[in-house]
Amino acid sequence: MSKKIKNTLSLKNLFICLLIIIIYFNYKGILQNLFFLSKNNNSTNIITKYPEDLEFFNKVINEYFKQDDFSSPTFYFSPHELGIHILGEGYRLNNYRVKKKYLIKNKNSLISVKNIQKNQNNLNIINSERLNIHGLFIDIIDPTKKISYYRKNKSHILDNSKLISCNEIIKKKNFFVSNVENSKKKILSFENCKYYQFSIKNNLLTSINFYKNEKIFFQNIKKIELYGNNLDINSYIILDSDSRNFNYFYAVDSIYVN
Amino acid sequence: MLISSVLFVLTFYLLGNLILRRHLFLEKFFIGLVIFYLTLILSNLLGQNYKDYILIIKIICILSFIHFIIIKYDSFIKFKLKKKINFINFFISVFFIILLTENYIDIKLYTLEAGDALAYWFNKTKYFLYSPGLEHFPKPDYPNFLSSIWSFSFYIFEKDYDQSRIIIPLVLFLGILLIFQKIRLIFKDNNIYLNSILFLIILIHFSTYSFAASYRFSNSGYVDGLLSLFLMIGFLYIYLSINNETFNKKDYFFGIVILGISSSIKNEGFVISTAVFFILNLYFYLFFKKKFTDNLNILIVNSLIFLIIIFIPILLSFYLESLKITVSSENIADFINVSNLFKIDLHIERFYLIFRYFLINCYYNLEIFFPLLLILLYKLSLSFIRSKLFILFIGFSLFFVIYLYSLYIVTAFPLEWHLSTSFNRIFFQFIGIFSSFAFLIINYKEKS
Repeated sequence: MSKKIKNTLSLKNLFICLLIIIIYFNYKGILQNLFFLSKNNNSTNIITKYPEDLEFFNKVINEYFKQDDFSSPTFYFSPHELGIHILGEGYRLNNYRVKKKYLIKNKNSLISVKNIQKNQNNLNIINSERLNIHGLFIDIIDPTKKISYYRKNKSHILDNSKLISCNEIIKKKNFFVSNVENSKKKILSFENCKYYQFSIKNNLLTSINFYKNEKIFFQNIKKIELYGNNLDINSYIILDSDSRNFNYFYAVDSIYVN
Repeated sequence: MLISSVLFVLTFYLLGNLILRRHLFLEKFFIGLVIFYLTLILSNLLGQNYKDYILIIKIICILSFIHFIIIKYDSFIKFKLKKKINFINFFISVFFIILLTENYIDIKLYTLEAGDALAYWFNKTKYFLYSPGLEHFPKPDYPNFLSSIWSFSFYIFEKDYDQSRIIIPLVLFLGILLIFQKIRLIFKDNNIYLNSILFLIILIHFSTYSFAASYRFSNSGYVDGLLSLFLMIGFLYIYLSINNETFNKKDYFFGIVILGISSSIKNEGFVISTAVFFILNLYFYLFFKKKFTDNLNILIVNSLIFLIIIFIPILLSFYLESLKITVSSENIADFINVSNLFKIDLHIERFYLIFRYFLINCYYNLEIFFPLLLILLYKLSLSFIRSKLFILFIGFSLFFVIYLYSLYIVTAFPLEWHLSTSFNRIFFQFIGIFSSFAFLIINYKEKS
């Protein structure tokens, strides 16, 4: 082999060629993708709208657990539907098992209580069904006095520092998902309206479970509206909130939807 | 993004600076990551709030910065920077920033969507940030290293789960840069151009390698890329410390810590790092017997440190599981079936499929294997084949093949499903060490 060919075939030259080829092939697709996405962002998401009239998540969850013991329910969250989130712990669904994805709106809204009894300073509610709620809208009788509720033989004081002005809440985008106007109307009819968000350690939002036929006594409260989506999920697990205040959606496989 | 990246790097560097002296900048950075992870776990066990923990970290960093200024006041910037500015360094820095920016754009365009990233690593990240109590600890049997450092990024980016992922490519690229820097320091008189091109090829491969639905190890939130990197650093440092004229305790210790922390990145890290540790120490014993026996005490102490570090995630998982109200019903027999190893018919049945996946993945990682092959051909000679490095390379390659093969022989999951969902990730975990071999072989010189 002549010296010239040997020089051309040196490891250094081969490596430079290799680098150029690698850059070309590795970034060709990436640049095409970037170009496509920058032109038409989110166009890849084809989502079927979830029928609004279906009973919310419990039904889906119940269906799911019956059909699949291996996985816990898989939810796609987001604004873009793309992410997979797990309810509790366990394996996610394998993609090939998801035939059709549905978009489900996070139904955070007012949950009406049917059985309410009013006394002078008290309000008793009796739940006809199991309820999971995130917070309470309350109409306070006397703002100078303490507000509390009594359940399971235990009194719980609603800490003043955790009471938020209802006007502030109403302004919050996407706070109510359904019946927005009606919900706002109900809340605005409260004279001394405050919102109380249930939380655990470190002000971490959480849901609270009211049992079927459970009696709960509220003191110093005239009117009450419960708020939540009736899902028994710790908010930090699934009801994510981010700095952009997006409302969340979930999608599940069609076979788990009635 | 660049400012935040600088902030991350400085925070972890300053943490590392507290413990290490006379080490490279990036070595301190990596030790800083380890300190951050270990102290975050400790603070969680003590029931401390994340904000308080970050406050402590900030105070420590300020103190470390003051200490740094006092110590380095005379030599600061003056002469070293000028010396380090040259065409290659400038080109590499620009390339590095371009790759990081490209990853950032990718992160911005593709939201956090990868399954395991969301289910395990990001879920844990959120846990660290909100610290709702140990009884809520998600997936205690999964390690926590990435989630711990991701939580810091998540905190800095004000809970933006998309942007906060930039910490992953940043750590990945800095790790490869550390390898390159170390190689340049150790093999001073070797071809800088070849080393630089190899460095860029490895950087590109780690940055662009994608799997499943076009997820990239560099930014999708998966930990396999990071595991590959830590194994690569650990392996290279231990190897170089042994191969030095005198046994380099400093590098050996650094290698042990980084290799040990692999078990805190992914459960597979426990097995691979332990195997790498034994292979390297066996190599040390066989080929450098005198050096080995002379430094036996140091080796024993370091081995104990290694054992403690690799067992941290296991001990933590036992403790956290004991706190859980609902006990996990998972059983090891649900995942592996060791008796499969002795079933000949199963070997015959599974061999072809495993081999097919093996070849496919060799092709997917051609960016590493092809240069490695070129280097091997270039260096091929009788003396090279007889060299210790080549024997180690063959030994490690054998371990790699046996590990992959036996893993899919003993799996209790449906084989095709398991291969299609995990083979590329398991395979990639070894790519870092093969990249190290590429560097080592390219710099190999026959003894005259």
